[in-house]
Formats: sequence, structure tokens, C-alpha cells
Amino acid sequence: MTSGLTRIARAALRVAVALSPPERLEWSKAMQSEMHHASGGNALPFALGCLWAMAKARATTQTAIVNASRWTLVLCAVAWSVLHIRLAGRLSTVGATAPSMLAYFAAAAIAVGAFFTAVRGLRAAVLLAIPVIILSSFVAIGIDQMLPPQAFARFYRAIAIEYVVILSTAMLIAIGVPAWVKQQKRSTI
Amino acid sequence: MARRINISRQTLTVLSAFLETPQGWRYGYDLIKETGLKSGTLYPLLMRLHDQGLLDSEWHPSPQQGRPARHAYRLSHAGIALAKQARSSETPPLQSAVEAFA
Repeated sequence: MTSGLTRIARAALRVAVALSPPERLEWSKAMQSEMHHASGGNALPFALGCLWAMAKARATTQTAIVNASRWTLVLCAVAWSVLHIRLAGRLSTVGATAPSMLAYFAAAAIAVGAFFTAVRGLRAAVLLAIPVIILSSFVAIGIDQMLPPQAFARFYRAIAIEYVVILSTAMLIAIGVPAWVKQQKRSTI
Repeated sequence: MARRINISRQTLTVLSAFLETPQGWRYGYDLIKETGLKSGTLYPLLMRLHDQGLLDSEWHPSPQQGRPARHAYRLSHAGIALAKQARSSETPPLQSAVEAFA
């Protein structure tokens, strides 16, 4: 019975070593060697604790968190692009050709943004978002001066404000998450 | 700008354990037995202390034949200063000690 539990404990520690990020490999080896000193029934709880610690280390490495933010942004951008295509389709059915074309263009631009964020990372998301935020802010503020009074002016303003809010949130995530992780690592012991 | 150091109750427990013999090397499993912490709590804590230069570590050959070398730990000078301040005040943040020795 005890040897069975010991085998499970050793297997758990092998998994812990395999899971450990490169910078924690020495620590997982330390856990593995320390298991030889855990007596009897304490070996399994010790090993499971080590496994948990290494799984957490793997999940909370800066790289893992940055990648999670990156892929969250990519998925959200893809969903946003699909919503634009749906909106464009609806607009075209009511004969709003210009807004429909604009929505298709925006869907394509957002998809390109998602692609570059996936390939190049969060920096690409920030670099692509900044000009769109600036442009959208100008549109939201100056739409009345740019277009003659018409029903779609309010629609364009609403869309521009939506862009500013969504892209600013995306930028906050792209800049804030890695900075927060770095700060947490420095300030918590 | 001065940065704030958050110090947990578990960290205080471990620092106190190290302070019992500040110059002595300690092993993970012995610390678990002494502090009552789980391995899933102790090791991440040791890793963070080590990352911040508060803990030294090295491999010691096991005195028992056939057993692998053990990873041993002891507080660095900065760690000892932090632990002493933590024990005397137990009031985070323990900013000055870290800055003085980091």
C-alpha cells in the first residue's frame, strides 16, 4: 500500500518536473530530491503540494500571463470582426450601402489587427490601436462638422465612441497586464 | 518612488524559522515539518525569497548513501535584516531593510 502511494508520489513529482518552467527547473529537482526524505504517508501530500506549486509557477510565469492576454485580445478581436460583418449584412439589406461598406472595411481591419496581434504580440495590438483611437476620437468630436446633418451622423458618432472605448480597453490590457505582473513579482514576498 | 513590500503571514513564519539559526542551512522538508506549511505553500514562498535576493541556496550531498543531494537554504544578509525587522515590528511594509541591503 505504502509503496503504491510512494509510486504515485514519485509520478506526481515527475509531472511537476516536466511542468516546471525553465527558470524553476532547479527548484522542481530540489522537490524531487527532498521527496526521498518525506516519511511514509507524508510523501504523497508533499508530492501533490509540489505538483500544485509547479503548475502554479507554470501558469503564472510572465510569459504565460502575457500570452493569455494576447490570445484573449485576439479572440475578442475576431468576435468583434464577426459582429461587424453581421452589422454590415443588416445595413446592406436596408439599403445603407455606405455604412455597410464601412462596416465590412472595419471588419477586415479588425481581422488584420487580430492577425498581427496573434503573430507579433501585444506590442502590435498597441501600435495598431493608437492611430484608430486617435482617428475615432476626431470622428466622434467632429462628425457634425464633417458631414451634413443626417441620420447616420449619430450612428457614426456612436460607432466612433465604441471604437475609442473598446480599443482603449484593449490597450489597457496590452500594456497593463505585463506591467502588473512585473510589479507583483517585485513587491510580494 | 519607494515601492511597497507586502509580507504574508506564511512568509513571517518561514522567516522566523530561518532566524532560529540564521547562519545554518535548512532543507525544504525540514522547514515543512517545522512551520507546518504545505509544500505547495512553502516552495513558492522560498522561490520568491530567492528571486528577491533574500535567500541563498546550494546543493548539499546527502550524508545517507544512495540518497540524492539536497537543496539547502539560508537567509542572505538582506534576508536576515528583513526577518529581524519583521520579527520586531511585524508591520509591513518593510521597505527600508530591503532597500538598504538589496
